[in-house]
Amino acid sequence: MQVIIRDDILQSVEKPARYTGGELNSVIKDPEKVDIHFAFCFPDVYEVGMSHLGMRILYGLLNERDDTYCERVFAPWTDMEAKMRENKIPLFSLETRSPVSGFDIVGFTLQYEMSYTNILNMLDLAGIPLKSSDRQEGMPFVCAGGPCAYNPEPLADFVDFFMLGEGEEIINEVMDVYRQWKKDGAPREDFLGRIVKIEGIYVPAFYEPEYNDDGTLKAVRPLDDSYPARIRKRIIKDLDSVYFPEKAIVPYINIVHDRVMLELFRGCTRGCRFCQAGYIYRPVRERSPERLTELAKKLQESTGYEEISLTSLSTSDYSGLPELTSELIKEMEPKKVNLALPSLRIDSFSLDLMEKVQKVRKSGLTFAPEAGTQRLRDIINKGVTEEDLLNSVSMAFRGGWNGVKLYFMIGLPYETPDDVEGIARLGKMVVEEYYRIPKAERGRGLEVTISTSSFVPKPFTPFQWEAQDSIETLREKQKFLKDKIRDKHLKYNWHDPELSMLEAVFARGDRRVGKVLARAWELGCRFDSWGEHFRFDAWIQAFDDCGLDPAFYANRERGTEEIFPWDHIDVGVTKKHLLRERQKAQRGEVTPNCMTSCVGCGAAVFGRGICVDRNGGADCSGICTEQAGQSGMDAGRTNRPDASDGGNISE
Amino acid sequence: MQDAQTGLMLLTGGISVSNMRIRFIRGEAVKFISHLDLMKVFERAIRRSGLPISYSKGFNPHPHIIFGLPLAVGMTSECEHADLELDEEIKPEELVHMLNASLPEGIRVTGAAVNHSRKNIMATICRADYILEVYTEEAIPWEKAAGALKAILGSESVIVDRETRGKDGRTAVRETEIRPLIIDADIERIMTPPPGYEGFGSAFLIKTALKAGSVANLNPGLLVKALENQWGAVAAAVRMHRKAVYTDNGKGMADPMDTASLS
Repeated sequence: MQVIIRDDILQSVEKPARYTGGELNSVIKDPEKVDIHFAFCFPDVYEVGMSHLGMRILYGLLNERDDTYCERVFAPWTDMEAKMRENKIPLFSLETRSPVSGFDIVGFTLQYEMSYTNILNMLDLAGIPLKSSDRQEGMPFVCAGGPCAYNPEPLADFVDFFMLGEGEEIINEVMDVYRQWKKDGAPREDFLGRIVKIEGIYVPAFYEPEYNDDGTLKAVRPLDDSYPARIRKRIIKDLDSVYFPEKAIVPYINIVHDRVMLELFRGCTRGCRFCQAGYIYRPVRERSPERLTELAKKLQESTGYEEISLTSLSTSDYSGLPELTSELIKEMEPKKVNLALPSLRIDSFSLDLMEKVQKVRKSGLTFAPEAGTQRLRDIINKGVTEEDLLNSVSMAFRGGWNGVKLYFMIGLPYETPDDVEGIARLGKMVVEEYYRIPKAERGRGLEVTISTSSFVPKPFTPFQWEAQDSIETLREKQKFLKDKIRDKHLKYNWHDPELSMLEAVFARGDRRVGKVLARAWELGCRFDSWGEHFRFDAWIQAFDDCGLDPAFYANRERGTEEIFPWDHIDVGVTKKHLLRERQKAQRGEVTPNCMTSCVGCGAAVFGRGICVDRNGGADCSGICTEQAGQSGMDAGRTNRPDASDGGNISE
Repeated sequence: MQDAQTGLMLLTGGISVSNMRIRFIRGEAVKFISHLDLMKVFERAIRRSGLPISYSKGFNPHPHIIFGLPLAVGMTSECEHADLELDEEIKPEELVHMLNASLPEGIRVTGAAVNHSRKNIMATICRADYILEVYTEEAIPWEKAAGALKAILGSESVIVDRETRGKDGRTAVRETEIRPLIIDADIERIMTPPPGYEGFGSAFLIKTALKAGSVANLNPGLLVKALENQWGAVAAAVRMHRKAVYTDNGKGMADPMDTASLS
């Protein structure tokens, strides 16, 4: 049955095309002719969700199946939500405008913690009980995946099952089981009993947490011996043969990333110690330039997009970059199609490349030194020196760029006032670098923006044991830095520490914080990452009402023996390696890039990726891991990672 | 507007060899996208189709397309027009086929013709015909509903409040004279409203011809406003459809696809 939304409702809300679908390349099937209806939900607005590559991949992949129809669902903006509640319109899918409550499986992608209230709100709008334990026979199964699923516990009460890791294979396996289960007419719980056997599936209801008297976790135990004690994430071993959509939906309205997105590789070789993405996506696996060129052609032809973006965590680390870019330029230039190159290190190669491909104003270059002093950059293993940065900005200024954004974090572990002041000093040096260049050779109207975010300790990083600075301390540091930044060319932006504190709670939270989440939603919290909707007072009340202290989760340093809510999740990288990295951080020692040598992080267990491929093939991975681990420790003391590193750029 | 200049560029050495006018439908699926978004839809469809469109010179090349009278967000139409400049000659049927193969759901090209006129579509539109569905919460007696329209057509002056948005984003209300812009209008009852619209007190269908174009233009919403004022009731929902537009390039009113408009 279709949901009817009258024109007067759509006309009364902002950007009605968020809710009307029908875009080019959206998939139309006869709903009557498929066995499985999958609602792919992105817990944010259309423009944000449609910019997410993972959703596009899984949407295409599920719809390749004749037995499955995957439709898209986004969080209605607050104006639309009000209209929907007023007119009793349930949450609906874009493709067929069907109520989400009628789908077989409702899947959420977890991209950031502060989207969690939107998940509850969407379930409520759909008329699906929030708690898994309240869902009856015939109701949809709610599943989730994505980077935040690596600590699934805060959402354990609401999600029937999690899919851990890369989804291309596991989601097909789950669909196969679902179809059989539906055919068998078996009871609801039986389905979960069947899929728990698939590697990468976590069914939270099958596990029970136990706590110590001090509130820390004692264990998360499977309720039955047949359930895996640890759940290992899934990876795709070969990116060239795995599915990648050759058609992409072209939205009618502007979205955040409105272009063809080409994924160069997964993982990151760099090992910055604050960066969760750098650990959870290991090992690094590349797509070949040939495959990427082929995909670029097909995607450009099927979308008509005027821009292609090369995406990865660090584009400069892609081994086939020169080959790929020269091929793409040759192919796309006559068609008036641009290349966008985010996450590129600045060196002579990349500047030359940008000169060739980017027909945009030379205004904004972004660098991310992350910390203000070499001491702290070594602690976080950010392989950038002052010299690298200044060389890069100098090159950029000579190349005609006049605006530089510098990204830093404050509140990093072991940070001193001098490190904070170092941010201001570095900003000043960038300005001085500009004036060192003769007037005729530099762009006019210098603008340097310093932005600081507040450090959030994340699971599966060497800093997962660390305390986050309190909101007061973060504020003091911001004020301290603001006073040190005295130059008319320097602008300073900072993030609200309240949001970072909540992010820290839900990043490392246990199953109990789910209650806070539900309470905050009851109190009206949603779209928390959108400044205009963030209500810190309501969140504090939610913690009070649930009798939980946010500081216990955000601001407490964990003991090295402490059991974490995510310890029963296996991402390949071992806790032992992370602890070793933490100790090196405390000593200010750096760890080399995976490209240089393997440090034995544990990700080689998957039997693929550059760590294994470059060390003689998959069969020796087990042994290599241990040996490389030791040599890596040694290498760390003497080597600095690739010295040409100089930060990131974006348009 | 830039559009007016494009013709000029053509005379001063542009390479385009053919100027084509197309007519297209904008259906339900695309009624909530803006004029700007529609332009992008066409740009991308043209790129997909491989049509030999001419591009502007310069750093950021733009395809040469000029659209007729922008359609308000929320409206459907069966008479949208655009003028395209091409680098190669192409048969009208082939142009229609190529575009339709590439355009998304909701946009269908229904005709194409070579345009010999130097005036672009936007500059020559003079009239537009609309079909409006108007729904009110309260029941309005038929005599009152029809009488109101008669009164409007019978008076010399009809003033309505029009909301305008200034450069600073603030809205202001301005009194606007609309009577000279109404060419004709007719009202009837809707007996079977479409799904979702059954619950209203009254449902009327209004067929109207209004002045349109860059010289004098009336948004049909303002005619509804004039009716609301007469009825003393607000329209809770309005659905609008553009039925036809007419051009005048000095030789009298004509269909934009007629030889009179294209020569």
